[in-house]
Amino acid sequence: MPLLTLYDQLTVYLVIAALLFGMGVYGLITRRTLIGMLIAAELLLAGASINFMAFNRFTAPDPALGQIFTLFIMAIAAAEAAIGLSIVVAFYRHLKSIETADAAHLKG
Amino acid sequence: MDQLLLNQGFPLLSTLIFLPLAGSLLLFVVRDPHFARYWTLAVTSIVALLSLTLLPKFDRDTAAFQFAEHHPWIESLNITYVIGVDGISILLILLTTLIMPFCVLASWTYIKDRVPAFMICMLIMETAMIGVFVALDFVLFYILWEAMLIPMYFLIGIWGGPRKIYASIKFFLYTLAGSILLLVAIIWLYTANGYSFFIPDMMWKDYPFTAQILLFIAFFLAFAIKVPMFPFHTWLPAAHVEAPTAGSVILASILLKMGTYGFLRFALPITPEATTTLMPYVLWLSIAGIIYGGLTALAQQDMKKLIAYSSVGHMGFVTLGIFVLNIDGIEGAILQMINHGITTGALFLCVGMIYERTHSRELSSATGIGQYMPVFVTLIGIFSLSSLAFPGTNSFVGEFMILAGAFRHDVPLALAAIPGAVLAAAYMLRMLQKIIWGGTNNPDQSWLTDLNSREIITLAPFLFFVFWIGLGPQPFLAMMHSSVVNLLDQFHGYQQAITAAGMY
Amino acid sequence: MNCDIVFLLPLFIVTIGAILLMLLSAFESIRLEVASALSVGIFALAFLVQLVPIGLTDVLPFVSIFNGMLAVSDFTRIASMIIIACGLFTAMSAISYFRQNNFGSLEFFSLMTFAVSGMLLLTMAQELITVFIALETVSLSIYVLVGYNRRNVLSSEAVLKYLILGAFAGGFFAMGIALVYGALGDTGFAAIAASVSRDGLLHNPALAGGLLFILFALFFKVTVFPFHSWVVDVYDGAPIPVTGFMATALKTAIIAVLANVLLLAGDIRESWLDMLFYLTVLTLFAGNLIAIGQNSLKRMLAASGIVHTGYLLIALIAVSGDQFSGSVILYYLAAYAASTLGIFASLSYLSGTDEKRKEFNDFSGLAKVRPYSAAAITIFLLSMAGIPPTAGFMGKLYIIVTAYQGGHVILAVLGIVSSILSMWYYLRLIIAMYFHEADDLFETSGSRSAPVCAFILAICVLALSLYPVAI
Repeated sequence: MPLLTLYDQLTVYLVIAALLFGMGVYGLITRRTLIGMLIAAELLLAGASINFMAFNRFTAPDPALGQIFTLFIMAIAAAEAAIGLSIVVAFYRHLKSIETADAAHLKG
Repeated sequence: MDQLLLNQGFPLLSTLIFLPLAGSLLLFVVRDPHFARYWTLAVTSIVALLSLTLLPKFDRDTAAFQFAEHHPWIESLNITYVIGVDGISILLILLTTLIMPFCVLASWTYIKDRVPAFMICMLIMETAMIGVFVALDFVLFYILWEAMLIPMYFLIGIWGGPRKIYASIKFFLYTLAGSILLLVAIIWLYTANGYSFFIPDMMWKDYPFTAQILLFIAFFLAFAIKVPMFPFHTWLPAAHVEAPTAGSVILASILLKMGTYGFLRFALPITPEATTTLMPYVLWLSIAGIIYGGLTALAQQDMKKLIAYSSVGHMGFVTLGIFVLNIDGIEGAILQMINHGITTGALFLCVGMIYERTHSRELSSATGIGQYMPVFVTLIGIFSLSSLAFPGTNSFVGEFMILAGAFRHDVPLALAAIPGAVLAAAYMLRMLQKIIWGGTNNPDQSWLTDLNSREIITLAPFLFFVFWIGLGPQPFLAMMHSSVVNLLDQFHGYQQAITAAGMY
Repeated sequence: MNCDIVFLLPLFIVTIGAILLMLLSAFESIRLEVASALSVGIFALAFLVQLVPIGLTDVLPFVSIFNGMLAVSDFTRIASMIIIACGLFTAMSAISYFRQNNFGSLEFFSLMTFAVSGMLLLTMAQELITVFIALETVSLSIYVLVGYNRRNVLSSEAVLKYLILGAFAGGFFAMGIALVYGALGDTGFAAIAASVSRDGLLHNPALAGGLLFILFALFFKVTVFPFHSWVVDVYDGAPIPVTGFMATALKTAIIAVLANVLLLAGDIRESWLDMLFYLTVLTLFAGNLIAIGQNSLKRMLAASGIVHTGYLLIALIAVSGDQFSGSVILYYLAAYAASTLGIFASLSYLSGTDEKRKEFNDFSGLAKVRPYSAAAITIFLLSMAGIPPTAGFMGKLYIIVTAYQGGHVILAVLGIVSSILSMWYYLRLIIAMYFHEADDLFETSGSRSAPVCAFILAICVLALSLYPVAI
């Protein structure tokens, strides 16, 4: 049954990672709310993490590197989300909105 | 390095360059206007006296660069601090140093606003101008050449007339655009000469013909804008009209000479083949400048504009003399550079003196003042005669030599320049007639006071040189003779080498 | 090696200092001036330690512990010195700024010091994961600094833009590392270089794609052409000292990384020469066009920063990898940093309460009221425009000569053309300051620290041009 061995194939993980990454890019471009964009940014990092774990499991000579980096990415993603949310709160206080369309005070 | 006669003992040239700069530092701290005037006068006078000590030690029989100093500066790019003077540059340096104290005197009461800043600009100008004439390293030359723009820009932009912003920006952008191409040429020469910026080593090399043409065009644009030659002259009247008197004098007497100096120092020796090829075009442009300058001057109502356009004509004579490429032409051109500095400088000072009284530069408001300012009209009369090359004055000698050179080169060319001389007489005499006598409806000028002693002292040396060069030009010609002969020898030697190589 | 510790000492000093400052922030009784003085002291100490020369060759400190992920050389040393100096002058001029803008707090200095420590790590990193972590340390600190004025809607908007796009770039960077890791099983620069010079870049698509992602992320941070649009808004919204800090220190750090990545093996750079060439040309002209259209000083400076990035790219393209000492790039960075910081220090002092003076016209007649400030700003502007005798001219000359020697004549000429174009917007401020009448008294805070900064930097700008030997 090839379906049962799917968990043991590099390609499967790469496809999942690519899907997540693609969703992240798509979300960042199309989303109109700040929370949505933050989630999309997290998806990008999630895609990268899955790639790392997959390569780490299947191809890498040194089994520690990818795992360590995934942990780092998680920490950084958390920090980024914390800062992002606090900024969204600050923004909401000014405009009572989290729509990007309202962020038009700067000219560019 | 054999073109350098290294200076022994006291570094005179470096002192000349850096003394004004050092003097300007004090004015950043002490901001008293009265002190600033006296201090600047003192500094420029000391520099002038020091520069005179160059004369007895100057060797007239060599074409090498004298009083040379040579120090490594930026070793990673092989940029050196190397300076020296030869027969071509020494007169220009003396012109610069001697004219500066009088510019300070001329600004004594003219400048009332922000005097220390004005004097700082003047002193920095002097450093840069002397530096340009002595620099023998191309980067050093370029830095000083550009550094000159900034104080001049402020001189026009802060202390200038009503349209000062337009004039200063036009001046700045025009000259900057020209010098950027110069930078490209410098970098090309740097790579072509084994990564060296030493100017004498760049001369008389057999660069490929197309490269020479391109280099010549780069040089030509940079220097022709500065001179300014005919189609590139439009910044000059604007800058002259708006600049304060001292600014106009510096501009006319010294800055314009840098263009022609550049032709002699760089265009001829570095691109001799291109010079020979493009010479006819430059010559006819000079003729166009002479005629155009004369005709436009004839139509001016503004005295400063009139003199500015006459400068275009006079500088046309200078470029004419340089590019006929014979001894009379070039020596005449160098002498005429000095003459133009003296005569036009003096004329601008005179206009400035009227302006201080009437607050107008319009010819119509200065008519018929001969009766009330006899000393003044005598002086301006003499300078105007000198400007139209009246025999016995300095310009006569210069223009005569240039025309003699032109006749030796090509008779139609010389004939084409003659109307320029006639036009000069026409516009100068027209101005004189109006100033001295005017017409039946002169404005009331009886309240005008004649020149005071400071103003007479300011003009007297100019008068002295007008007659000295006019009656006995020999000492001046002797100083430049060796260098000019050497330049021409090398030039013709180069041409023969090219022809000889072409024959085989 | 016992002296390894000396090489890393500046990094330690700055990081420990940052933690210390963070702890001190808990005490409300400490005044801002104290925190500022403390961070200046930390930077000064790190700067002095950094003065110890290393020699041109790469030294890998503590190979057994760090596994070769850091390398120290004269290039990293001088880049670090520039970054530390940027931090020092920003910390000094921030005091003048916070006197007039009432949102300063102690954490500001701590965050800035953290950012500097991340940048120091960036210059030394020899491995992509280290680069990523250092980059995020820097970015996270700078996000907070950009949005420091929470009460200002512009500031919030700026940080929002920066954060979203920065997260985007960070995601690309992580993905790029993942691809490189998948292709090689290693993330060290040395391994990448070895693989590329052995098989060529395109032999391994994952490697090529990964490197492309990484380059894009770095280009975003230094505002190379298609990734430049954020910079004007973010610089406009950020507090003035932060803008100056970003424009100088951040750019220096990222350019150092780019230099490490691109020049490490000539092959990496060669493969992308065409792309880099077009990006450079577009960067130069996009920057100039944007800058010409601005009326706000901060926005103009932001756009001119794009142009300066273009010049640095010329240098990156033109210097050859084998004899790379980085002196061209470093000199330009130092000259640029000194003049930019100088302008921002002057602005910190002159901009007034709540940054009320930010347009060109707001500085009309400055020369009459404050002649020294106007003179200093003029020196900085002339240096940025590249007019002799300032450091900026020497920097541009170095770059153009190098480009010419490297055979990139078109780039050299374009560099010169762009410097003429840039005259347009630099002169505008000079005209406003000198040739117009003053209708403002330019009242400022009492603090002398920013003017002192500006004075020192003006001396630096002139001294660097006369004695470029120092670098």
